[in-house]
Amino acid sequence: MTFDSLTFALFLAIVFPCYVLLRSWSARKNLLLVASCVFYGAWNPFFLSLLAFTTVFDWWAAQRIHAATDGPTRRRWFWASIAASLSLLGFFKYAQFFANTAIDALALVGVRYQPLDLGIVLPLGISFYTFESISYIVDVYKKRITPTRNLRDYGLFMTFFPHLVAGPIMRFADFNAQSTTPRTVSAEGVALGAFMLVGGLFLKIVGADQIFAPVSDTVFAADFKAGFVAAWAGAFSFSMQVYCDFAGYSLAALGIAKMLGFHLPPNFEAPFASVGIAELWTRWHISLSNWLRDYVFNPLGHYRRGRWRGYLNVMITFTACGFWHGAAWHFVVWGALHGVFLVVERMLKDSPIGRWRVWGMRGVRWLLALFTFALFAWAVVYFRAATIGLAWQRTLAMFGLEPADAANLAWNGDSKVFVVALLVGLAAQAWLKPRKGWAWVNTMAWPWRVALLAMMGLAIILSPGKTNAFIYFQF
Amino acid sequence: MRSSTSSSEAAARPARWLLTWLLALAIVVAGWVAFERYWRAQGYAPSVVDSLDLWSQMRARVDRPAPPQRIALLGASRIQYGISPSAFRDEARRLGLDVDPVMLAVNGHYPLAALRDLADDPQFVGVALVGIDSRGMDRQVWDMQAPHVRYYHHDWSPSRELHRRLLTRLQEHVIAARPEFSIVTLIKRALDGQGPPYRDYVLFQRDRSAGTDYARSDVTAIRNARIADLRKYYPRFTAPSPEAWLAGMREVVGWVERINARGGKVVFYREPLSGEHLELDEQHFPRAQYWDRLAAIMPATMIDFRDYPSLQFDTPDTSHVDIKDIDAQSRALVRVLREQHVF
Repeated sequence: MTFDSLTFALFLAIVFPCYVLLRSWSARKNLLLVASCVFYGAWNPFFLSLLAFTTVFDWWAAQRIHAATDGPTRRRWFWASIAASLSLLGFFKYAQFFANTAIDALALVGVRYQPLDLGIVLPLGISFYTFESISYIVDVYKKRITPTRNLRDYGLFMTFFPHLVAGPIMRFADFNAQSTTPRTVSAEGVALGAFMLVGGLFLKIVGADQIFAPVSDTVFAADFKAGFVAAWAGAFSFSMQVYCDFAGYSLAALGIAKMLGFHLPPNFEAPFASVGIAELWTRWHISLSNWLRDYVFNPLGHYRRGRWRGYLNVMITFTACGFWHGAAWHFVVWGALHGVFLVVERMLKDSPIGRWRVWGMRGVRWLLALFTFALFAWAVVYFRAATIGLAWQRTLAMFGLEPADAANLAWNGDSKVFVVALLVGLAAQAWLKPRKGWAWVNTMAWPWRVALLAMMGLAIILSPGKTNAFIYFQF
Repeated sequence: MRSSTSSSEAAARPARWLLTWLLALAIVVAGWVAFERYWRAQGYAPSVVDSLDLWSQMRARVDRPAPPQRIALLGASRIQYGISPSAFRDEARRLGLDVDPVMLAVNGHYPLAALRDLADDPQFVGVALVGIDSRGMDRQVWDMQAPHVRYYHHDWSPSRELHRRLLTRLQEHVIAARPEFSIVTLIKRALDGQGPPYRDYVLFQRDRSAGTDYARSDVTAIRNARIADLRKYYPRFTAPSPEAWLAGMREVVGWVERINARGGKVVFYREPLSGEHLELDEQHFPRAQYWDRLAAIMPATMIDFRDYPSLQFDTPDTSHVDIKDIDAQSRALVRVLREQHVF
């Protein structure tokens, strides 16, 4: 189920009071585990068994790795677990892509097959929980953590419903430290958590679905011949849409966890106020970028083996990041573009240009932040467009090479609301940038807090329009 | 000193939060009530809004085991806006039949993809009543309802089912649950100088059936617009030859045979139509060359409204019966189906 559904409202209205009423911490954890399974199974009961298999197998494999006294046995269990996780992800997420890529490749040498439709349904959240289970196995193998003998606790780590289907991607050590100590449900935690939940729903329902989606849907329609302005408007609009969609989901997840007394790591911290793409990736989908740093980039050697090897490692990491997002070439290009941005940024920073004082000037930093947002928006075209061909057309238009019969975006209600929301959104990110976390809500003058909460609540209730699925659910 | 101030502040925080939430909730409720009262005073009313979820909810129902016998009502707007499942059920009960008519017709979408889906579904053993004309059997429009079918098989879930049930309840009682009354949409309309939302003359029920209330609309304008659209459409449209059309329909014969083999039945029903609309359809798909030739090969009951005086209803906009005739058409159709031994 999704956080913006009435099903979830009912679910939370039942689970939360039961959780509060239970005295025993063990009973509370049992309740959370059962509730999480209901949460997941309500989407597709069959795939609950897949999640259960991954959970039990990795929990067991971790025990074996820890118990093994010789290196080869440890390695066998380690690779068995990694292979199991990646095989499931590979089958459900990438089998269709590989089949069609093979058919396309054969067509190049004259061997023609009909495109295949394998009819594979992608299990919800598989990319997220696969990464969590891999991090657990790697950490146990590297002896960074001791595996838990408690299957219930490990199961709760994997299935904890606030982060189950779209993150934040958690580490076992962080979660276990919380789940092995009774959590306190405080009035302040519930109030702030509920505030964050409302904030997240506001971003998703009002921002992503009502304000930004109409403009990006228009511009990225296959038959729309976008001109320069329309192409940039579509890119900015989708940048804000995907932010509101995913940051909204993450904020709601953090809020629900806080209500239950848990702390989930922040996933977004004003990314569009970043100066440079490197900073952006410390503020955008933080749990994923940290995971990629720790389990891909660092094992590849980071920059330790020289500058050029470091650049290659960045490219590999971000191309993999693109591929993780979706089994299609346009996602790969999106990831690779970010890799290129990061390499170029690093080269400039390492060169004499990087030492110019001008970069520290306030006005210049503002301009650089806008330039960073523009780069992100350009790359996001490859994320949003259904094909590389369409993304390339939009790229040409963004650089002034628009088609002769290019259409511009009508200056109507959709566009006007989008422009105002874009400016407000960017200003809000600039304001939020120095404020870490959500403690600022506690220190806000209460009349402002009332006004903000009432505005968001009313806007959510009065926004019953078409609800789009959360974008990151497809990953 | 600082420490005691901090601790007193910390102690005061929950009280401030409680105040925050209570005031905010009061404002939200007051705003919501004011919104409802304003639009009701303008003459608007709550209404169920059709969706892929609502379609899927109905689609799941036709797979339930009999009794009652499931009747899948397939078609486009003429079925969705022309047949009342409750009147259908009542009339059947009056005739001693226990049936459950389920509305699967989709406004503006010809239904053969949904029929194919029922043929592919071994659990469906009921009656498929397909409201359709010869144009709707052209292969080019077979897949119009494919997105609905795909959504049902890929996205429909127990979670969506519960959400949709709750949403239907909400939409029946709250204007703010109608998408055209979304606050952002209203702001956009105001910026575009479009004024309040269009007063829709089509009213939906929770069972997906709807009715066109022509008393709430300018029926002459609607009729003229419909005919103008057809006059523009047909010159650009090349009807398939009867042979090509029939060749395509042989595949449909296979679907019908599959349903028949499981004990189900299929009925093709050409719904009432009138005026220039009927004339234009006949020019491009003459009955003798299309419908009647299909009837000769199709292992299904074929009902053309023109053959049954009891099915000849007035269609004010040339294509749909008025809301006041829906019950009468539903009951008349049940009697015809009974005469034809469909059930």
